[in-house]
Amino acid sequence: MHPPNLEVQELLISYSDGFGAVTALDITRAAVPPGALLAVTGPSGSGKSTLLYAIAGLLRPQRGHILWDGRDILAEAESVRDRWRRHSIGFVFQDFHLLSELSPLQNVLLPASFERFAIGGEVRARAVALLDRLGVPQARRTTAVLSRGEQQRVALARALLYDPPVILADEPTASLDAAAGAAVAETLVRLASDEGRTVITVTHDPALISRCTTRLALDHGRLHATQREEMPA
Amino acid sequence: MNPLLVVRATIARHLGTYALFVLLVALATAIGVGITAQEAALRAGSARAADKFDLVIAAPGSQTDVVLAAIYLRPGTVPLLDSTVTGKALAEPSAKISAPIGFGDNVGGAPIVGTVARFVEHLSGGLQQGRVFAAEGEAVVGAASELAVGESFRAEHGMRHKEADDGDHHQHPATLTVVGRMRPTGTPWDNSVIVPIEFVWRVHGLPTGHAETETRVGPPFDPAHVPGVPAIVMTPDTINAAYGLRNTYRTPLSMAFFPAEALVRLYDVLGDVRTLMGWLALATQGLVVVAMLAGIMAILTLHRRQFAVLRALGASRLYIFLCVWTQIAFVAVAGALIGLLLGAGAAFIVSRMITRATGIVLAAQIGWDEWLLVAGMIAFGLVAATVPALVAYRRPVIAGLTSP
Repeated sequence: MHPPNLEVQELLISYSDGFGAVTALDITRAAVPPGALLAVTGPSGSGKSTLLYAIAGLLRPQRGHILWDGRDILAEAESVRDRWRRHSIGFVFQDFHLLSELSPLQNVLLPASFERFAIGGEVRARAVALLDRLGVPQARRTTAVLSRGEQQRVALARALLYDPPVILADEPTASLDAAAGAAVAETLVRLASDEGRTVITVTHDPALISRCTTRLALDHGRLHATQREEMPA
Repeated sequence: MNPLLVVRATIARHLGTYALFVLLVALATAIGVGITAQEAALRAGSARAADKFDLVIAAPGSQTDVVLAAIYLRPGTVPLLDSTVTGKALAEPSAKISAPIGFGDNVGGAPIVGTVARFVEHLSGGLQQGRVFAAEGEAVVGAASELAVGESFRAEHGMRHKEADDGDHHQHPATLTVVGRMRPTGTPWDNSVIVPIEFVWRVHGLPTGHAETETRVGPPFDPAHVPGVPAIVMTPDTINAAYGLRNTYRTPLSMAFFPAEALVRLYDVLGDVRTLMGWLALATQGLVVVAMLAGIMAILTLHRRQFAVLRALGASRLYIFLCVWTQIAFVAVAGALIGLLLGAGAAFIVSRMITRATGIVLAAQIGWDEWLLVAGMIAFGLVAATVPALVAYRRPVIAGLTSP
């Protein structure tokens, strides 16, 4: 595992609401050290999810750079970014976004179907191992019959299929009850502390925030406050 | 790159809607396939049924009416050919066969046709059972006739359909006995009962073509005792003779024509109808595809967040394009192929019904035209599918991710 040095520089993302330009994100500089467990907090509309999507290279900002070990991913061609995102970033969403008609294993293998080649035995074995490790019952024909906690664990397994060094989670515990949320939070913590991945999570969950090594607070798209020395504004 | 997982999941989620789309495309295709297959079968069947009727001589009037009455044995009224012309035509030296066709009676709804023995052999290519009639009281039945060889019956006056039983069954006093059965011809003659023309003339109170003392049947006929007939079918010796005879009998008292001429005119009308219906079917198909695209676009709008998530997970724009395109392609291909089967099935059933009603054997087949129609439907669907696929391809990821 080789988590990258992530750095955001001079990032400006704005949009028009019909009356004028609205700033969604305006960050002069922020750095995320390798292996950090970073909580992105702030009120609704403060730009938390936008920051996550920008780090994943899904947004084209008005200006700025997303540096990945010094390499500006926004300067790469879209096809390169797609492949990079597939192999280097694991996404976890609040509402899981599983294909409920497919089995847990098929959902985990979904990113492999984006590849130009057929899904290999090695990838399949890894998917099975991930589901085992996260305690998801594989015998289910669809994920619709799984509990919400189990569904989020399937989403976690899907995020980990290509063993990415960075996990981006958007409110991963918000749709779960306390016990399931705690289990997911524990998994995210371990991915950072035990496996050395960089985990960046947007969250309002105090329990998850308390376990993060770093916190980045946003307000109206601007960096409001940081904790820990790794996040100079 | 394999979009089938996503396609499968999306179709499974909206199974009822997609099934409806497939059914709509199938029905639209089936209409087109059914029309073209049926028209082709009708054309081939009717042409085959007229194959043995080289040249027809009749009283001036509608060639179509004569073809329908004398070849397809449809109940109808045609004027009688002048008796002088009839006598001359029946003795025509440049015709291998010159057969009078007389009708006006039935047995149990099956038409009774009077002609000569040689024409029966020509039509049937030899009998499958018994022999050809040799006396006025004898009859030969078509292959599909319910009458058995050896069975006797009395002719009923008039022509009627088997199904149309008006209860008025006036029978002629003379009795006929079946002495032979023709081989199947695939024509209305398979349901007919064929008797010597002399029998038809006699029961209708006309001269029998021979001196009153004579009891034999068949040619030569005595022109002095020959009455008029609805039609005479000639098989000329040569092609030149055929055209010569056609010219000879184009007189103020008679008309002569090759049945193919009348059929070509009928086919022209049939072709026009087919073209019109073909365009209507094509318009229906187009509307169905457009409606399907609109429906699928609505479904895809519901799934825009799902596609954005796929992009976030690392899917390329091409993958999203293929997901959408494959769904619509599936509907177009499945619908068109099911439509082909439905259309072929419908054409088969209608052909059977027409065969039962007319005796003309129609063999509806899926030919080049039908495959072309299905291929066109599929091609149109595949091309049209690129529109929503491109819409999904171009949609910004962030718009999908932040959509409700």
